[in-house]
Amino acid sequence: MRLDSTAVEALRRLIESKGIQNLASKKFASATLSGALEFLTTERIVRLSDPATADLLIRLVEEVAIVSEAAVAWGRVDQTRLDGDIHGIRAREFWRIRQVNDMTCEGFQLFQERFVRSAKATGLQGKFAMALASTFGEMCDNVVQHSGAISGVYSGLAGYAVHEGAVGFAVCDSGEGVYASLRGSPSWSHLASSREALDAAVLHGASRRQGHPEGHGFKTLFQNLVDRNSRCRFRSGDACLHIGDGTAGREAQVLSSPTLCGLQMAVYCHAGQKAKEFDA
Amino acid sequence: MKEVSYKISQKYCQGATQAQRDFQEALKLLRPESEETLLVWDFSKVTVVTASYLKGTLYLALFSGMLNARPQRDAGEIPLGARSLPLFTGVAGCNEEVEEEINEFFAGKQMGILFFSKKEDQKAGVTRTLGAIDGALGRTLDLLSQLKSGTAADLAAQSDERISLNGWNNRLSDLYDRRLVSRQRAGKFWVYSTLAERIKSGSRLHTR
Repeated sequence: MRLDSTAVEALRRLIESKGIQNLASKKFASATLSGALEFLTTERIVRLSDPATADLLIRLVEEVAIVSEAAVAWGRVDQTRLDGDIHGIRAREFWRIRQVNDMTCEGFQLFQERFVRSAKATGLQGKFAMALASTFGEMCDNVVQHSGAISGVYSGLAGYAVHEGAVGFAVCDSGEGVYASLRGSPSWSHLASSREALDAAVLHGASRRQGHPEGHGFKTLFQNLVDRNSRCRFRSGDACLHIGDGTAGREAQVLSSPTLCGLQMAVYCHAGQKAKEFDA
Repeated sequence: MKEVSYKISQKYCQGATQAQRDFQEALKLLRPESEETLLVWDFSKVTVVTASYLKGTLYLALFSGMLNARPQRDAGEIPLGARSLPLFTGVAGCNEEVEEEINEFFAGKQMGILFFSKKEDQKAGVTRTLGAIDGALGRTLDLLSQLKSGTAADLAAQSDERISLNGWNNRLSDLYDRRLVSRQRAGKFWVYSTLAERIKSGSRLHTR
């Protein structure tokens, strides 16, 4: 069994319908990047109210290395000290976003640099890899700017993975989510659901900042990704928005998704073919 | 006029968080803030830049200067974080991608910003404008650049364009409002000056 974003949605449906115990004897063998990050966000939220179910979830993925690596990174106290070559390429890597300094420190620049090198090494063109790095950076910055901190602490985790011409990068948080964030702005207080909020934020540049009802972050994303064999997934509240998944250009599908707080975003690209989620 | 340079230290410039940090750091160079200052953002280490970063740095700096030149503006027009400062803003050291991003960003805002050639290239180099600058204002800036400094009457005497003295005054005043030239009072006239040795309006790039 592979833990991808669809599987994580199925897990949440099972939790909602109290049927998760039926999976007690199962184990996931692998995971995609977005699957791993959405899974960990789900587990984190479930643990707050139901530690036994959260323990069961962890048992389902105990053989999946990427999930444990991501979990360790999310809980890391000091991420300035890294093992190995700080400039070297990686198959996958994570960066937790807990404070403002996580976005402004040199370590984050090195993380982006390794992302670019790793993407180039797997076959992406240099300029495209750098454009992706800035898109990835915008997505990470979204955590600090919009997810909402609790006692000055943000709940973000970013990660990338590369494999045979394919590159994926994802950012998740368990913050207030797009709907609550935008509802705080007079310009967007008319929004009535997570679906509307996700549509407004991703496709129309809605931003909660006063005096700046339109942000630039997602515009940068589309500028860099449109018509590039890319596939994007944005998930917040009970809504999910897909771009490039059977759609052309900026055409998007807004779907329903079992509820999860925060915002989870993933982008997949491929050097030569239509991108899809891949085992990381 | 005081001239300071803020060297951006990171290679990847994105997001409002980095922008807020860099804007605050750059403002420290202005102290005391009462003095007219040309702040040049040095992008020579920067490989990529995003619109969010530009909005929180160059746009805010340029608008703070514009507020100083003309404080009466609609509240909705003033970006969050902008405050009146005797500030002129330019950029230097941009690679082609960064130059294009800045050009497109300011074209979208209908604003122009000076792109200074590097200090060491100053003799050969020409300072350009990035973003949007109206044709008449561009010609006025180019003409003032030939004179280095002058009054509306000086430009009228130098130009073949048949516009009134008042028209020249308006153009120069508009360039000052946009923080593309400086000015000093000399008796009852304003003497306008360019902010670089040689200025040629318009980018090397075509705005999409």
